[in-house]
Amino acid sequence: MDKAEELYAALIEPIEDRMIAIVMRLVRDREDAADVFQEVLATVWSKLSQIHRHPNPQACILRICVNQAYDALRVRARRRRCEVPLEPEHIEDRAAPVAEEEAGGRDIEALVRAAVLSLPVQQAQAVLLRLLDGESYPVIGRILECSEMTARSHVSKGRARLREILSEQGVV
Amino acid sequence: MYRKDAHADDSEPDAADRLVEQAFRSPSDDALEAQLRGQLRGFRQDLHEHAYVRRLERPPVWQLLRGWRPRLAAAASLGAVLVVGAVLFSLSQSTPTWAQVAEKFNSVSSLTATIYVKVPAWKEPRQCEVWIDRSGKGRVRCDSQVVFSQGGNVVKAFDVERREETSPNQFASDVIRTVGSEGTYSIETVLRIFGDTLSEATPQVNADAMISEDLVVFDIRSASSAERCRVWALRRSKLPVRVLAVDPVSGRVTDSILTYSKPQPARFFDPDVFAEQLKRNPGAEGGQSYTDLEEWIGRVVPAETPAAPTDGAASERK
Repeated sequence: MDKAEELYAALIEPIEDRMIAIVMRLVRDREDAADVFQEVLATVWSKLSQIHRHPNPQACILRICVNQAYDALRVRARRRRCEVPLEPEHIEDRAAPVAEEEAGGRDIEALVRAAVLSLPVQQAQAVLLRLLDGESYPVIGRILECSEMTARSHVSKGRARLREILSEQGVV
Repeated sequence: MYRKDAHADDSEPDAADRLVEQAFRSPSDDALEAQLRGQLRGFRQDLHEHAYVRRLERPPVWQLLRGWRPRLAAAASLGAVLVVGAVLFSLSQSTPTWAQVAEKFNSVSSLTATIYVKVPAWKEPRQCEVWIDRSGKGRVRCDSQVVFSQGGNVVKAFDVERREETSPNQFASDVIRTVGSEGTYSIETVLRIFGDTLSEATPQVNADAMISEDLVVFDIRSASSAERCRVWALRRSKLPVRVLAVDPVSGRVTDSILTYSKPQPARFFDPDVFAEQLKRNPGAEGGQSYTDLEEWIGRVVPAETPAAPTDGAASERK
């Protein structure tokens, strides 16, 4: 096996699925997701020597995925806020016909996504890694470059804050 | 989606958590997944062209040297470079000891010292110039006097200003007696000029005072008096170049600049030659102090005062 294959097998192959999952879940738009993934690979390319020498290269790559996807999410949220303001009254009428219910469901999802994005970056990323990917706290700590205790704290505070926001908006 | 791991100690997933999972649930988009995997394949193929990967693929220099002879030659060259580097580094970095400084000083054939004395510190300094050679001959210029000595005893003294033989002044006598008391000079005898008790103490290297890398600084504190002295020596040649002594009780400050040159000619230390020239050159008052001194700012001080240029000579130069 040549060096390129060795490097790929050691750094990326074991986390291919997780990289794809992170980007697809956070960036739901197909076009955006492909762009974000390309950005991720470009960043990995430019920092390859640093990543290779990093004590935890795979966590480093996953962090790049989370950061790029999260940035794209925030950019898209800002764009949407400019285009269609999200008003709570959009979801008040819950006992509506099926079509309206589906529309209401999409609004709730948008509200939840907006609530997640309103959290501090580290908290939002920790919550998403925990709830969506079911990552353990040590892994979250490695990805976010913090201790396991700090990762727990981010998840705990993030979840509590999310409950507050969604409760204030009448979603839960 | 939520997976409870072994470290989890937070609460069970609640409605808010489920909403987050739902809002960010993975879209079942096979086409998108295939597209992302395609990007990964492209990345994998391009990786061969990455500069870092190419660097990794390049064999180490050691492997380029095939056979034991080139390897042995390379190892020998590297070893030689390291040894030379280490020797040069140690030569440039090592701090000479006081014993080395003393040994080096005692080996020079000729010494010139310009000594400035202030008693007390606020007074104008009194300057004295001393030339000594290894045979014990000495010559001292102090104020208007030029004093000749041999083995610590004054032979003759002249007043250049009055152009006559005279009795030596006290300071010149003290210097001659101190330096020449042992027949020849050593660093210890020189230190005695600066303070009676300084030669008894052991000089210590003062690393804090060594701002310049070229100089080594030694501090001497007398055990029996308040006198203290600092000696600056050149790191490579190990020769002392400046000695400064202070007696805080009397306020006496003695500062000396030491220089080294080729031995002076015998006539420079001959009082009879000096007396003869003093008679023959009535016009050269100040310059007579340095008569027959070689390499004094690049020339031998003329024994005779050059005649003043005539008008004809001046016009020739023009």
